[in-house]
Amino acid sequence: MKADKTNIDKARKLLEAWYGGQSHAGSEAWLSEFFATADALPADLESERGMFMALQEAMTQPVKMPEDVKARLDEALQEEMRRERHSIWRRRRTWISGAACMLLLIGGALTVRNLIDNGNRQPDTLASVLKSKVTDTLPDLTPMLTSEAATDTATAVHMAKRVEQPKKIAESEKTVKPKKHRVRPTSEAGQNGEALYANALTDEERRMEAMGYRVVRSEREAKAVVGFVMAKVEENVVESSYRVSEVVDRIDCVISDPTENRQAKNYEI
Amino acid sequence: MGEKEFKDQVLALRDLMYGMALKSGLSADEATDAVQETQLRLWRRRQSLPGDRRELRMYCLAAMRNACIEAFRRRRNDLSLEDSPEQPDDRADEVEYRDTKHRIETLMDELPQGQCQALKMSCFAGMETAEIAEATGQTETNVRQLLSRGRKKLKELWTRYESR
Repeated sequence: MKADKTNIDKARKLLEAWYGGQSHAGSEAWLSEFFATADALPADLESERGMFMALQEAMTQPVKMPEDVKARLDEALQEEMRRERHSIWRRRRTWISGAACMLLLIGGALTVRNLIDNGNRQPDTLASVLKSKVTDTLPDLTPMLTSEAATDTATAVHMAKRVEQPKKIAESEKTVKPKKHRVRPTSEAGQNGEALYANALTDEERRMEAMGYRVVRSEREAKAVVGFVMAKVEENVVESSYRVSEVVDRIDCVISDPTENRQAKNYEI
Repeated sequence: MGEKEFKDQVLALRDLMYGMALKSGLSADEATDAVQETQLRLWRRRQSLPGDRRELRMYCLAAMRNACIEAFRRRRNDLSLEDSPEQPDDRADEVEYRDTKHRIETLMDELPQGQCQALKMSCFAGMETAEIAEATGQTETNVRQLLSRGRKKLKELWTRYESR
């Protein structure tokens, strides 16, 4: 640093602040560098040079650390490193455990869901059981025609006894006209397992019949079947049988004499 | 910064940090504790330490200064910066001066305790007036007065030594 007038004036100013206790670390560092590098200085500043150089030297002089102190510091640092490694492993283990728990929960949830889905298919089995119960207890219930069905093929009612083997529809049955064909429910017909239809069935309906299903077209008849099934479920077999028999009788009455007592059709089940 | 780099660059400054702590007026045990605390802090922050060696040195010394401030704060009750009566001037002649390196420290030790401590904290630890006041529990005005008197006295002692 040059000992020009500017620097000399600045040095005097900083020295005044330094002796007054008003200086800062930056100004002290500047003074130290100034006194270390300036060549020729005025006498008042030259007398300050020695002390500032001594202060600077004392400040930067390293102190040899005793060996036991060094060993203690090394041990403390090693302990901190060990603790840090252990902490990292413990954090990783926590993450791994959490991930494993999540996987278990997800797997369990999927398993439960699959079980529920499988359980939902059981009504098929239950329905088939009910169907078999119904058909077994109604051996005499044979398909029949109502006068309404005779006139309206779309609302024809079909009731078939469950058959063990796929049924073969006789040619004569296919050609039967609804209006002319009337069938009285007979046990003989039921025992033979013959199914008589009001009018031609669709292919799908035939397939369902072949599988043992009951094809119902009329809402009323569907209600009748459902009502029966519900009654059976409640284990009221006698009442159900009676009611169905009552239905059969009523239908029989209607068939035999459709002009009388049409209210009989509105049977309650 | 990896472990090897830390050991090569930071731990190499431990002597300097230890010297700063001792010269600023801390005892040997206090200086050791301060250095240990500083090196642990620097280890925990090793990822954010500056890469440049000069900046790293300044960073480490600044961390050491903070540790010294905390050490002084801990023993605040014992440390008295009251301006004790000055010793007679003739005692300066009785001082056994060692070589130049330690002369200034020896002269400082001859100052009243308050002035001596404030000067050492300012010169060797690089503490500002506010930091000295915080570490010792004194007001900044008191610290400035101590520094002013101490520096003037030190100059006087130094001049007397030079003139001999």
